[in-house]
Amino acid sequence: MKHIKVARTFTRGIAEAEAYVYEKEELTAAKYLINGEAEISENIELFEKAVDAVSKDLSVLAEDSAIFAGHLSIANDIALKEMVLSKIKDEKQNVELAVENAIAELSAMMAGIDDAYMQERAVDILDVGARFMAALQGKEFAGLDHIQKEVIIIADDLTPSDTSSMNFDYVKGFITERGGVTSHVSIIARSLGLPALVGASTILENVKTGDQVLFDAESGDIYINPDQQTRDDLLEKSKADAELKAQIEAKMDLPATTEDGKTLKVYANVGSAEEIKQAMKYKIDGVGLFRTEFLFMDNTDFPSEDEQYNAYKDAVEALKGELIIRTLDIGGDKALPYYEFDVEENPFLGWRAVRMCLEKADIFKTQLKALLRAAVYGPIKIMIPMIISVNEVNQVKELISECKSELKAAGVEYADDVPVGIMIETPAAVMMADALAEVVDFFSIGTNDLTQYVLAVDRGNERIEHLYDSYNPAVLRAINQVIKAANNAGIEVGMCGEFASDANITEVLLGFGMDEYSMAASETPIIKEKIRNLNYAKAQELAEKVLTCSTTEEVYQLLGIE
Amino acid sequence: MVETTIYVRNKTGLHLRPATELSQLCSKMDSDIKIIFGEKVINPKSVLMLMGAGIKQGSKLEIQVEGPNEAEHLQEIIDAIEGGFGEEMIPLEDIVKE
Repeated sequence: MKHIKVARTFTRGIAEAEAYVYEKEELTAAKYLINGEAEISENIELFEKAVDAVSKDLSVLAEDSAIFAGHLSIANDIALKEMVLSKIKDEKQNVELAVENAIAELSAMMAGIDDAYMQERAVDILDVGARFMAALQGKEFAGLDHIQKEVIIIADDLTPSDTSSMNFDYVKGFITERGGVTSHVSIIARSLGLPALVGASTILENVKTGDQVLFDAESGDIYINPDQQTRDDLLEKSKADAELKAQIEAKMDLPATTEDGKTLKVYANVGSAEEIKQAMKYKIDGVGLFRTEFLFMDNTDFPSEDEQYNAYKDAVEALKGELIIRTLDIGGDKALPYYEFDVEENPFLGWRAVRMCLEKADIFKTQLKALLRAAVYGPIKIMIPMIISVNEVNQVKELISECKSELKAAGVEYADDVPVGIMIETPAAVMMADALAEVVDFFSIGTNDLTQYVLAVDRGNERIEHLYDSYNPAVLRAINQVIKAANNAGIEVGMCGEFASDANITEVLLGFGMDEYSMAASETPIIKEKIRNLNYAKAQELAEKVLTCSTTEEVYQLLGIE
Repeated sequence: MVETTIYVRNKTGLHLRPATELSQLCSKMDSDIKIIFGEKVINPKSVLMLMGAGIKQGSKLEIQVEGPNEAEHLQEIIDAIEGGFGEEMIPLEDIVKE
């Protein structure tokens, strides 16, 4: 058994299947020099026919893919054409050699630019080049469409043409040596919810076709020809989870009502309308966190108002329930392929989320207008991340009124009564919770960031990772303080961090007085079942006791956690 | 032939979308157009060459246009670049004083 670990991961799930090492069949150009006018015009004609053939294929693919629309414009680019024609006419190269050379020069030019986004576009040019070569040689463009059994694709890198030809009934995941966050393979894996790892720099030398590959996309662990123990452990874990889940899911139609009759909202965290449709399978009551980042990240430019409006409208129409949409939470460590952020020494304490939005008011207003318009079609709530002051809330509200008057003046339909709430993720927001509760319509506690900021612990720092613990009494007291402030002001309070899906803390949160739990949709049946077996009066007693604990160990002991 | 010197002032320079817009505009013109950027001579009808040139905010470009409607076409190109492709712009003084 071999074990490889990838540090940066971006999807989750466990996949096991035979490896399929994908080596692109490199079509080599026939290379020779030509002579005389007749041969020259013959080769030019061959090139023009190839452009037509490639354009015809790409036009079909381009209908629903911005990536292939880009490829279509590369195939018809005037510079590419001039380079090929000059190589045929002046340098007397035959058409295949001329195309190969022109593509190589253009992609080298693109790869040489000091800009990660442009460098990755070199792959697009090579991809178009491969199409040309297939067309010139009268071959089918070779893809991955012939695969007929379950596999994990192992490759140096995957192009859009590769992934578009995959049958996802058989492809269980992919692992590539190259590729970054803005590469096609990452974007596609995320949008399909497929386990995938990129940047596995030694995978090709360690795996051959037919090897058994088992990997955990979340932890980054890859096992090649895993021994029985490792397989059993990992698969057992996922199987046991699956069985328990099946039992619980049988009851997921039932509401989350405690024994003594208090009904709570159990919501899902999602990133797109597509994910909402998936989440509906779990009979979710609503969405407590709709992340809008992916709309911005999987894009070539800031999405327009209409593009966003359509996305939010689709989402709320698909859900038929309450939809809490978080405004752009980007900057710091989350980048955009088309916008350069300054490098900061402390990204988590830096220019991100609402701080960026308030400064880039035009970008923020585009999003707010799209939200106000989409709210006509269903119960949308707007949620602002990273708030530290009442001042920020007032500025956001002012922008929202500006947006409303502008929409009104333009005669565009919008909803006037959209609730505005905030994420509680900073110690400042905790301390000001009573004042903030007076100016907003709801709170949602983001425990991932809140834990990090309350304890001043960077989760990415391995040396102090053990200090990162949401069970720390400091974090629990902060959560309680926020919930009490919300209860006193009569506004709803929820939680959309990972802590909300932890069944060991459900009772304490109930006892504090929390109204809504939001988590990955697949976790909702488990938490609902947990709540149905709880008693609110007893939970309040437990919550009181937890608040008297002075160490994390005491909390664990009280809750019976080992 | 008519020519002019211009500075790129929009935030992303001639990144994907601005380069696409400019090349689409130039492709509609029956003039011979050259953009000279440092030592590079670029045909702006090609989006690949425009992107590949690595033109950033603050870059100085020389534009040459030759053809029956050269003056009109040059003005359209100037308007497009000065318009900033709908992006945030920096003031000219900030570039020239450097």
